[in-house]
Amino acid sequence: MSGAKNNDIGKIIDELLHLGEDAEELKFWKNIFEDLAPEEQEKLRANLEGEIEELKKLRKL
Amino acid sequence: MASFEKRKPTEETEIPSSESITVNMELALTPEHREVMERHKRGRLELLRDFITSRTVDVAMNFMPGIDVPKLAIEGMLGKTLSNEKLTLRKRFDYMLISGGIALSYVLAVFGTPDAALALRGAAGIVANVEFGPEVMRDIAHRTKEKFPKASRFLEKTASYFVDKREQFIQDAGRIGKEAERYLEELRPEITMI
Repeated sequence: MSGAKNNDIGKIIDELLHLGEDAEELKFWKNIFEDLAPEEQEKLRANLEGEIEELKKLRKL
Repeated sequence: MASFEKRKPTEETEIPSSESITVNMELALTPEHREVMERHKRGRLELLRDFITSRTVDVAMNFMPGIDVPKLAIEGMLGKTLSNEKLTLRKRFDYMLISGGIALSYVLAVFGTPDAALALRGAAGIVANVEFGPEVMRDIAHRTKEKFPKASRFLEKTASYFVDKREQFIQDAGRIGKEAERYLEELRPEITMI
């Protein structure tokens, strides 16, 4: 389960890097993801996915 | 504990926003893209502040149950980092990590050492007067990993983040340490009562 979650967040972060985000900061988040409490993990995931969605919308304009 | 030399903090220099984001060179980042990135980055900074506060207070509250001083002190210290308008968000992320690493190092050094009074003097020296580098963080994390595994693991990862930018870390930590001392001072009356 933990491995699957890490893999999942890894894909989200890879997508953000492809969209031009800061590699150093995102690598740190990926590294500490397993140490976050479940609710903290969800907040982070929502933040990252929200950013992807907004950036993709801008690309389509 | 190892000895350290004093370092004079250097003047702050602002990093232009264009340098704050690692750009995928195939993309052209418009101001709209940057606004989206910075808004979400700010959200992650707040998450990081809450995470650091939580881990630091967890350690301190094991010894001072019911006392809000640690939480207020740490939140004040990290909140100041978060609200410093002179810094770019990218720089603030590093500042937040250094500030949080100092706070966590402080409480771990105090509560992870058998002799609290001795540790208190050592911890005060660590944050205020010394060359506080990532290796100091790593050493504290290593010495406290059995007693406080979660907090020490975070400190270890924070130290790893700064390994490749040690000079920047030491300069910033020298500056932040003076500010941190003021906040951590609020913990001392409580700690000396142990």
